[in-house]
Amino acid sequence: MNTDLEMTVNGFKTILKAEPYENLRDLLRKSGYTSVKKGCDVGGCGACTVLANDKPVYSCCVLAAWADGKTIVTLEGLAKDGKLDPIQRTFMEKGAAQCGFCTPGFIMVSKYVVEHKPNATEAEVRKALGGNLCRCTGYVKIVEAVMAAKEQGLK
Amino acid sequence: MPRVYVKPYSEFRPDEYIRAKSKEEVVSLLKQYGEAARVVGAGITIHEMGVLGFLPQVKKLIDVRAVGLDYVAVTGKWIKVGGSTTVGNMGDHEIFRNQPIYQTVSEAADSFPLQVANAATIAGNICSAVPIVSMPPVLMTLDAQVVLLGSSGERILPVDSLYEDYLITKMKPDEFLTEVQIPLRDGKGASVYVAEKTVAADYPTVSLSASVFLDDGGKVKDCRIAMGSVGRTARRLPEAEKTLRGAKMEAQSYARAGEAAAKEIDPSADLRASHEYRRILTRYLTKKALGRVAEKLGVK
Repeated sequence: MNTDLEMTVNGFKTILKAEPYENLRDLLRKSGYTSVKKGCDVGGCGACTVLANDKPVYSCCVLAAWADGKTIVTLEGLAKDGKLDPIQRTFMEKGAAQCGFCTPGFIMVSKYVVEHKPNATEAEVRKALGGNLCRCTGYVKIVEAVMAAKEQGLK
Repeated sequence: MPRVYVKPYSEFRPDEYIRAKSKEEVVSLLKQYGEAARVVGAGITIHEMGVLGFLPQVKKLIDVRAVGLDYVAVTGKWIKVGGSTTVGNMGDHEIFRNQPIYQTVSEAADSFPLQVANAATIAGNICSAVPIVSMPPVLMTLDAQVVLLGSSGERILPVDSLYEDYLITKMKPDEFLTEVQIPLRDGKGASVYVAEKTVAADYPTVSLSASVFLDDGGKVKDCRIAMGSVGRTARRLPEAEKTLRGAKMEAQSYARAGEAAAKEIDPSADLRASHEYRRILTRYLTKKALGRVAEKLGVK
């Protein structure tokens, strides 16, 4: 039996229909938000990370119905008027992506870190990114990108 | 002994998601549907257990978010935490963050990946009865108890005696967890949480929480040690605690407690670790935890 879920996705109020057992990631993907990646399926890789009420969550392991009434932001919602978000820009500038599969998840967590922990040290940034896996970059470039975005944000 | 029949990847297909509006409604729904109903917070454990095939019988999911159980309150003798409170919000509360006696809660909450701490509820962490999650051992070391509401009224169980077996609690099918209560304590005490993980996003391979109170002479007056991932349920380690009571906080005492701990656990082997390795980790984590408690207590 479908349930109607009212949520704000990337600034747009929408009503999405979901099965009771469906997770948020599947709902977002079938609604066209394909930046939300399906990696491990059980909260181990972070590729499905989205912001729910400004906080990062694994969309693969919360039920879609949990997001009812919440404000969801996916990677698609970051760029404004054709201009990339600072965190997206620094990811590009620092070369923080190789295959790119984990990148949407990393950017969403990084966005949270840059906005809510502007004074985080590199160690704290690494801790905050602990819930995401990247099998290509070795994390160095990703951490550099987050630190750079933080510095630019402070200006 | 009750057994759990596991059929991998069997269908998890609840047919209804019900938003309960009051505690009474939750109880009446649970009474009506029995084993076919499951109370749900964010659905993290439910989803994972569903995917792994543990919950083919579940047909109704009961959302308890609108019931008003999202709070941390310090009142009289207790710290009261509502069942729907997320692990992250609980860990960020100043009493857990700043007071050494309860700090194990914040340390455990910080060990969750951000993405889980922001959604996972404390009730889900406790009621799933998965032996590898972090919060039950933490609550055991703080002598916490849970309030269960069912059709025959409220009852209170210590977290320590909540678990029956792997994935099985002593809760009746028509009961649900409304509140966790942690007793406020005075005295010279501190608590810590330590864990070993394969990767940061994973469950701990072994987790350990310890709380220690000293008497005026600097000897251990009271202590609790509890662990996850070393048996069929989260558990206290009474033998290790016994070796520590009355002892001085020093390296030999930690080693003795570590030995006792490694002896009394009954760990299983899985893809994270063999049972022998879990014993080694237990010895190591006991020493590490007690060393850190001593640091917090200012024992040189």
